[in-house]
Amino acid sequence: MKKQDENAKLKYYTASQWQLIWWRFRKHRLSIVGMTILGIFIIFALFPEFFAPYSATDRNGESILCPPSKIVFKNAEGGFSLAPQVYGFKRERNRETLKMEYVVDESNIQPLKFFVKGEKYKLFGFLPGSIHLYGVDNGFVHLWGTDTMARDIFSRTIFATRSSLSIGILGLMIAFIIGLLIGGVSGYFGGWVDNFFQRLTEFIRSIPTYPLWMGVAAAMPREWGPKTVYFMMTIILGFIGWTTLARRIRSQIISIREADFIVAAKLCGASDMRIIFKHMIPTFISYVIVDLTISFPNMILSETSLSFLGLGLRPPVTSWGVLLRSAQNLNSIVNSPWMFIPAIFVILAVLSFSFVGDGLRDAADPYSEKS
Amino acid sequence: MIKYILTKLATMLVTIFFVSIVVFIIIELPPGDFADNMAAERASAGETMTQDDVFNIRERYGLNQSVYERYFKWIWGIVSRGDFGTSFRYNRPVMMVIGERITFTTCLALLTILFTYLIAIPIGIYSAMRQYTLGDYAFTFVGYLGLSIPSFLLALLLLYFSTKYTNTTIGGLFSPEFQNAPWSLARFVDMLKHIWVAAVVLAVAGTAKIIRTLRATLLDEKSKLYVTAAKARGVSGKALLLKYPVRVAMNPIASTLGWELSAVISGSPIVAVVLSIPDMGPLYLTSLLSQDMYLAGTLLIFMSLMTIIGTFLSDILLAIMDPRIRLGIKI
Amino acid sequence: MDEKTLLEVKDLSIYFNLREGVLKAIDGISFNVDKNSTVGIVGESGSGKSVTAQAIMRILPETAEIKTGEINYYKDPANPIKIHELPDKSPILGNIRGKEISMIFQEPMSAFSPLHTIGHQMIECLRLHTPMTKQEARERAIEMLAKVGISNPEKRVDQYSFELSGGMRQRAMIAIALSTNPSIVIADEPTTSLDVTIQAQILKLMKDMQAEFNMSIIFITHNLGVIAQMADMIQVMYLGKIMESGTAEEIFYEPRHPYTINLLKAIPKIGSNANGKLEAIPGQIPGPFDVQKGCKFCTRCPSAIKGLCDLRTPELKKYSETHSVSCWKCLEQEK
Repeated sequence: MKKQDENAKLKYYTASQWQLIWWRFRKHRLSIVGMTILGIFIIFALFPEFFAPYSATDRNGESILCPPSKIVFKNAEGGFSLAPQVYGFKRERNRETLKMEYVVDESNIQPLKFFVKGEKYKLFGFLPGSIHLYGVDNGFVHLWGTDTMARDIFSRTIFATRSSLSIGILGLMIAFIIGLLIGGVSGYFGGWVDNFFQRLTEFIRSIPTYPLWMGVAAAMPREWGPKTVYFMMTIILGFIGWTTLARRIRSQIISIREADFIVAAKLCGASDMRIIFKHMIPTFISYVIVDLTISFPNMILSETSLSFLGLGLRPPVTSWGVLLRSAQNLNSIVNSPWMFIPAIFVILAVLSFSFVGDGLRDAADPYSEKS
Repeated sequence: MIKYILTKLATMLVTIFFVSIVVFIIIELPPGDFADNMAAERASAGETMTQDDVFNIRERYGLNQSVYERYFKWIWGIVSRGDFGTSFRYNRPVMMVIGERITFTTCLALLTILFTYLIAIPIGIYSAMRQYTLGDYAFTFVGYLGLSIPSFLLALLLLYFSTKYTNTTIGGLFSPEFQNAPWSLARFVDMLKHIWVAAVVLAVAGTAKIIRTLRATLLDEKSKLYVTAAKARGVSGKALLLKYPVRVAMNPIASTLGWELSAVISGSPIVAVVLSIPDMGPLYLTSLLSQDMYLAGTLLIFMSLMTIIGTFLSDILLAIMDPRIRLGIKI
Repeated sequence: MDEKTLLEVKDLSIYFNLREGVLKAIDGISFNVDKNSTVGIVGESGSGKSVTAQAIMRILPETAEIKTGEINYYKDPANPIKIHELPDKSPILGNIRGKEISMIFQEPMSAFSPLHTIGHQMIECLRLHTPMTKQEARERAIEMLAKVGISNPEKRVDQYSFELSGGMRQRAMIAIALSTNPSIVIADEPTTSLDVTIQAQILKLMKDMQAEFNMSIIFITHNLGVIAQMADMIQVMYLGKIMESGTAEEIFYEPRHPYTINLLKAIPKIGSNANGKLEAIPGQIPGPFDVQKGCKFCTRCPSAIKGLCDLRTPELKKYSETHSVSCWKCLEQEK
């Protein structure tokens, strides 16, 4: 008993900073949930070709705005079975309203199969494959329905995860680099340099963020290809997010600039670069990582909002914002509410990042263990 | 105090000057100019414009002058005559196109701020005082949710439910009978009846953020020595909480008023577009999409002005509330 | 207890319920405060001195609870007030705090609200405990500020704590504590955060005030030198227990407990042993959660008796009317 205690203590006192952070982080249940969800999203983003039964642009003939398929757990005799089956739809004209409507086709029932061979794809652009997570033998299955162009919303959402997450991460990287440069220079040198950048930051904050970048985004020529637009969007997102990061880095640097170990390093003749990279950054990198995590939801929300307004990513690129853009008018959402489903991904992603960020913040704070 | 206000005032003027430059850059940003755009538009409609026509349009709108000339002409027009330029699309002075939309946006922003603080402050105090109770957890959860739902999505959801279950639309700003009526109390009340939905949607994220800040600051302040000292002097109960920690925790809240306003104005166009509120937001979007840049620029200037004035007012409010700032002492 | 007694602390134990476990901050201490006298409580940090003060004022943190014991206040001997039993919202407790017993804190900077003037906080306190009008309270506040030696009190009364110097702030703190004419003033390390010259001034001020206002002082400090000037009775505390108690003469001239003896050795003295080293007490204070049996000091005690000191808690033994010690070695030496 006593021996175990002592071992635990020894482990605690010799653990590295990151180990300590991880141990404290583990205690936050919500953060672990958030981390799991994010893990799933990242897997989706890496292998969308496998999880999506169809590609993001495949059309199911004429089945536009088809509602989600009905799934039942029945066997041929009508009893319960673990193997899911899906009903197909047929189109019928409603006798009263004379509108074309989708009606569940009781006669067209087929098993939902897993790991089926389907459309061929290339993972990461070079690994050929044709296995999809699920599918049906004949025709199409649309778990989340189809959009106005008869494309499978589930597949599109999975593919959109890739663009939305990646643009967020790239945007964050750019924000981080700008923030590190400006915040770092400002905090390290102080004086008029600091003053200048402080005023600059304040000034940029005084222009309403979205309208400003809406203006910039609107200036992107229509004829630019989706790749160029994607690239421009990462830059715009980076510019939206850098101010908070710069402020944080600046205040961190100022708080340790006069610390004894920095003065000691200076007296030993260490160069500015060496002091910044060897002595300063390691002391506050954990805080910066926390801030990056906390800023990420902002990136996703910005991308989604701009794309939603038609000022961000443009089709054929699929992102969550692009998907939601088609759910913009009242008619479409009342008649086909499944167009909203991609929104769940946005909310989940943002929530998870907030949970993980909060957990990390508490874990990285050395004082968090005081009672 | 007077010196403090004057400094802030000077900063504000310099900021406005820089804003005008940035706005002008954005006006100039789109490749090609309005004349090209018009030519392209006409061409797609099957008409053709001769080189001369294009030249004439350039001449008429001063598009062939140098950038500096145009900037100073633009600024001079604004300062001397309140002339913000001409909207190419509507072919009318920008100010006439904007009209009462400024009032709508201001009302929306003020109402949003009012909602935000009215809801956030009591809940924040409650959560801190009843830490780790069911109520605290519930508010924390709702807060997380409020921060994660994009505002346009919330607006869409409200639209969806109101249409689906009440058969009324919550969009728009006026009932039909008030649409073009002159201003009256009844019309104002009618506007409030419509605008509150947008204000609530816009207030959600800010409310969640302020609840979190207030809760954290209060928890921090509650255990500080000056509170214990006041308790040791016999102050107790509500008086102790409201007078000391709550009062101190109000300062960071007051100091974020400017940013909050900025966030509201920043987020309002997208919500206004979804809820079809005819304020500056939808006009801004359409002007951007059609590259009607003087209109867009003017709208951006007004949005920035609101933010800047808001920040200025919140700075003054903070100085009134916090003697350390008033007396110029670094905290 | 007898009729001189104003405040009685009897067998008081205070436990903190923390995530890591139960922390026994105070473990069965008893002492009396006589009318118009000064009781000094000395000990290293973590010995439970401040917690004792907080318990008397009933301003313990939420995690702490009074486990056993009594705190009795005998202002009216026929009708003693049991402070430990008063509910949190009781008006009697409100009257104890600030009116009967007031407190001077270690850091005057953080003990004043940053957003309220000194005068505001004084007037609030006076209006709470006396029937004064706002104007009367203000005059009283100015009078008190003048009394504690603050120059230009009419101006100072409207200033904020951060506008005063450290010494002035502590004077204001004393003014606020004495303004209601309390019977007991608890001073929790009142001079620790001050310069040595200011320290002396503040100590003198407190003594003068004590003579003028006829009050008792509970003086808490880790500094034996300070306590020698102030206290009539001294309680030496270590890890939540009283090791030795006695009059100032008894503690300084006939210390018996090894802890007291070592503490006294650690005071720098002019002249004697001038080129020698100060003797520090060896070892570290054990962590608050390290449960140990027996005498709490035995891990660092130079004369600990193995098999006795580390197993059984020594009783408090009286050596005179006022002097008592809790130590096995002292008991053994008697035999």
